[in-house]
Amino acid sequence: MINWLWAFLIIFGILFGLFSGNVEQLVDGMTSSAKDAASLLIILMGTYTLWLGVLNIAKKAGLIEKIANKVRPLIAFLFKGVPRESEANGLITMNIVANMLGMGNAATPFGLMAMKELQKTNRDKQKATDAMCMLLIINATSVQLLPLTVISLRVAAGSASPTDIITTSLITTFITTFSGIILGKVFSKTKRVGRMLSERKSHDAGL
Amino acid sequence: MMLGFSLYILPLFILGVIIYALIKKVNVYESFIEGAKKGAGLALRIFPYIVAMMFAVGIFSSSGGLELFQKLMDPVLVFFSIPAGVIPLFIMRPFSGSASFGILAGIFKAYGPDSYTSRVASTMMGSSETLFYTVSLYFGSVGIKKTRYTIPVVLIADVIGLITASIVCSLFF
Repeated sequence: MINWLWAFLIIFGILFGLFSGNVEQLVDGMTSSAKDAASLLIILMGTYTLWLGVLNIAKKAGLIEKIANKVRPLIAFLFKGVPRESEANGLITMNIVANMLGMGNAATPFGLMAMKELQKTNRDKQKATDAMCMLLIINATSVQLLPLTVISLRVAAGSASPTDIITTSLITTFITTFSGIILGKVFSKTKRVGRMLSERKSHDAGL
Repeated sequence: MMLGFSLYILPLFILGVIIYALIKKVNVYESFIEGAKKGAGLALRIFPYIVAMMFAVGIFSSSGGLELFQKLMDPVLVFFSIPAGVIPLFIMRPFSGSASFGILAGIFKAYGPDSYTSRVASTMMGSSETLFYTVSLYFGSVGIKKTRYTIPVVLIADVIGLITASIVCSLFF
């Protein structure tokens, strides 16, 4: 699906840009993206290094296991098929906690390490397990309790009450994450639907 | 007030981890270095996926094709009483965090930060994530090619989020 979507963005973007006369902007968008990616890499290298360092301290102190044990029933329900002794349990917990607290920079390295652990017990190395899909669903539907970047942008825009969207965001994010989890559980149960979707993806250009 | 509190999360988190580790007689410096060694490699491993995503999104968002999609979606919006101004954000949100923040800033400017449109946009932004970026990073980093039901599920959840944000905001404000 990513394959088709990626091609669609590029082909549609180039054709539309050429026909609508936005060529200058188009070329600018093409060249600046590589440059932007490189400066992002430098930032990510720094933050990932920092957070994996902190994570390792927490791991050595047994802190992650302790936190993971507290929420084990919930994690075990959401992430079926992950061995009890797998390090993935603790990493998934840390990933979700960091996401809830809005520490996105920390959540990503935790999540990537969790994926690595999940992949160890995966039989088909090219195909995502249900636990992997669930981790992605929870990450992509956001579980952030305080949308800080949005609030600071509202402050910058001169809002009279920048924080009044906290409640509406909480309600909405709860509903989206909840429906994502339910849908994920349904799709993982109905094998036929899952197979149909993964076969259809080769015919489907997405969106 | 809440904003002030959240500022304390990060320092208190680090402080807690270090003190707890010292009590458990862990060599915090050595442990930090040991873990930190993996950081640069991890960033490098996902770098091709970042470039690929930013390249495609850069082309799409600079071509002006976004407005076309906005027009196509118009009838649906009227039905759910979704403000039309949030649609560029809704389309861009799964692809790029920085691009959607740019759009959000544009919405604040065009409609005023305390308008209904801006509040729905803020709520959406605060309750969603960049799906395709996350998917390409997480699955790409371990070589997963078949993502199965992940993308459809999150896209459905995003649509639910758009409708929910509109309804909740119209009830609250």
